[in-house]
Amino acid sequence: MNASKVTCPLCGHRFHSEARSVCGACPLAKGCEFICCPACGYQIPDTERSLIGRWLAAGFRRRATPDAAMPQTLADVPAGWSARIADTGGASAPRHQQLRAYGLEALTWVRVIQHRPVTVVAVAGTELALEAELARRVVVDSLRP
Amino acid sequence: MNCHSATSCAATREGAVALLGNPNVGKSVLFQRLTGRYATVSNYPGTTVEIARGVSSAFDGVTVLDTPGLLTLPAHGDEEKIAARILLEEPVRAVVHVGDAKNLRRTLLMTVQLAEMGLPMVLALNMMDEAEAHGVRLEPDVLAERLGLPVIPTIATTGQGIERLQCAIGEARSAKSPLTYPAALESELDSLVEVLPPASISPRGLGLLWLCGDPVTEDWLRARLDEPQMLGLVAGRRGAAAALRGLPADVVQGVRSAFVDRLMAQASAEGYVSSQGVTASLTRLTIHPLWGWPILAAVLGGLYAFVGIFGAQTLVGWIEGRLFGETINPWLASWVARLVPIDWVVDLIVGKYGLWTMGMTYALALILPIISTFFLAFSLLEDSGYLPRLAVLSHRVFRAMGLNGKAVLPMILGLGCVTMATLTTRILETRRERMLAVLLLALAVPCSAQLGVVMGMLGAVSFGATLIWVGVMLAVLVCVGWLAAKLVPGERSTLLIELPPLRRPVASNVVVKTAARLEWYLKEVVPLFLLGSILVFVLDRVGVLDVASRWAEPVVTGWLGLPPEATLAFLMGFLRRDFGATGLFALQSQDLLTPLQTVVAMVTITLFIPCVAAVLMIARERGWRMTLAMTAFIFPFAFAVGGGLRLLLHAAGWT
Repeated sequence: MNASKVTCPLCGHRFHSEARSVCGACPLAKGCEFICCPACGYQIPDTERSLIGRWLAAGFRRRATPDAAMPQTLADVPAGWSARIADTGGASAPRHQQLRAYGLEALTWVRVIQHRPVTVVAVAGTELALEAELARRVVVDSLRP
Repeated sequence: MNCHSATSCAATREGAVALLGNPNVGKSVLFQRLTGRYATVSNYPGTTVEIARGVSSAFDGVTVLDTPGLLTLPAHGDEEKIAARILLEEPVRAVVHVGDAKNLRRTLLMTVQLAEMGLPMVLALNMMDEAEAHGVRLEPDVLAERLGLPVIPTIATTGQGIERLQCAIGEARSAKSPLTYPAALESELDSLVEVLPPASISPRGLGLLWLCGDPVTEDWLRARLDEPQMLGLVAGRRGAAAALRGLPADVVQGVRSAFVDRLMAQASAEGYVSSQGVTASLTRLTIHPLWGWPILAAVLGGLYAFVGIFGAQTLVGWIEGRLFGETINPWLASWVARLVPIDWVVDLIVGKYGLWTMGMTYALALILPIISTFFLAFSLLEDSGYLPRLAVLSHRVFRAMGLNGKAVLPMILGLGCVTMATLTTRILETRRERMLAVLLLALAVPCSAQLGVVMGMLGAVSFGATLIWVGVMLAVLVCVGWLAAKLVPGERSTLLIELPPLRRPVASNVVVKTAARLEWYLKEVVPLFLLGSILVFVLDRVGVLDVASRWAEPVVTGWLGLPPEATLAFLMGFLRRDFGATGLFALQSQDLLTPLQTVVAMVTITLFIPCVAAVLMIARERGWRMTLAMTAFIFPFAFAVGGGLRLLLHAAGWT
């Protein structure tokens, strides 16, 4: 899991995903694709380890309606939505300059066309393909359908 | 605009007229219009990776330069640096900034930057037809007034606006720099003007390039200043960054962006509207994660039907079998035998390994029909804009090979000609990526002539045989790429590529491009095929061919399980692998190869290094040491894979 902290969906206990305090006593720990809540033992799929879990989770994430008030990156913007760029400074210097040259700079609205196999966005008369790693470096601050 | 005489309007400066601008905006089409000289034109960024030079009759013999696309200054990839060097190292009398009218903002950002360099300049707003189709309405006169330079709307593909552009080039003058930067930056620029060496661009333009960290400018300055002077410049740049509390490049870009936004508001009556309709839907579907694949399969299936079946079987059957086999060759053989009294000369011309019966028949009757169909289909695909869209679909595969989806462009161009595709690897950003791409191109990407012969031979065996060959090539590509990516140090660059819109190919451009490639093929390949024929003839005469066949027998007949006659084809394959493949084609035509032998032979010869020209190109791009290392790896690897495949297929019941 990307987040270092996990919230148990059953009991609400928050714990570090890497702690795995209950795994030591479990005979199935080797190769296990779940994280067990140390408070209640509830099994949460570990999407870092489970390929199928990661695919399904990504699919559900795409269908979710984003919270328009929550700042996020271009990679989080659902396909078909438009987002306002806040910052591209997280990308490497050449990529930052190239993104700006293509028109992806602060206050510009871009429309996300798709995320698979790579993110494709439209900005004015330009259509750009950029991989998720780069899309995650482009911060957006506002969304609209 | 009435220009009484382009020559009388010409500027008094010395030097060439340089066409500069973003990738895929129509510079090469304008170059053709201005010079009448053909330059390869396609619908994807990166078609031009070297400078093309032509002479314009409208300017009394002035040289016109067609340059690779330049997205940003500071320049990044190799092809951008080539374009950037023009500004510093080439005497330029005028710059024609070619811009995409429907991408006005991006165009103007570069116009402003070029204007600051103080060179006489014209802005050609190209693709006006596409801009209008997308609802963009522009006021070129307002732009011209605010920028202080001629702004000419053009449609290069139809020639609209070219005459006005020629007049404007003749009258081009230096534009005033319209921008004022923050005080800290202006102060540093003033100091730089005092110490920078004289250049063809203005000291202010040179200073801005330096402050923004342009690597080409840095190299240029290092060649002209001593170490203490360079240290002084570096310290000044650091001081400016500290005073600005940010990178000078960001501050400069911010000021330019704000100016361009104001300019856009004044000069652009209406903005870009996304197109709807069938083309727009198809454009989306070509990169769709699900529907993109059936479309790709349909495109490849169409290519196979046109090149592999129509070109390699129907056309070749008619030309080689009937025209050459039954008419021309017997007639020529009887005439030469009657006219030439010396036996060995007759043999040299129309014998088993004769110049005509082998060299010209291979080149004209076997390869020419195949590559004609391939080049035609390939030109259509190039001009449609479909190829760069494959970068989206193929990205994950290339990622596994330490590259990104952009590498699909040189790989696909390699299907046309590996030698030219080796040059196109310049569009990749890092040295490591270029090296990996060159290795994969040399190893597992068949060129058009090779591909045609392969399709023809395997198509005659079964569709399954073609699938096995494709499967082995893809497996080799991915496995070697994956392993090489693990072994070669360095990081992969992230994918960022512009996807041009799908366009209906212009028939004239497709025909001209196909004809130009065929002309190049005939000039390149026919002499080598003739040379190969002479070589084989001489080796046969002096008995070396028999010795070589016996020497190679353990490998060719023992390990690969091929008939002894195939040895000659592999020897020819060292010169050009399609020459060798054509030799195998001839063996198959004489029923000397079983289906198993055909597949094994095709896999082995496809993994050979393409040709002598490709070796020279690899050496030019990557150096001799790497070229020799690649050669030492590729030939034994080709035989190892071929023999391994034979064992596998034999175990599976193939004969």
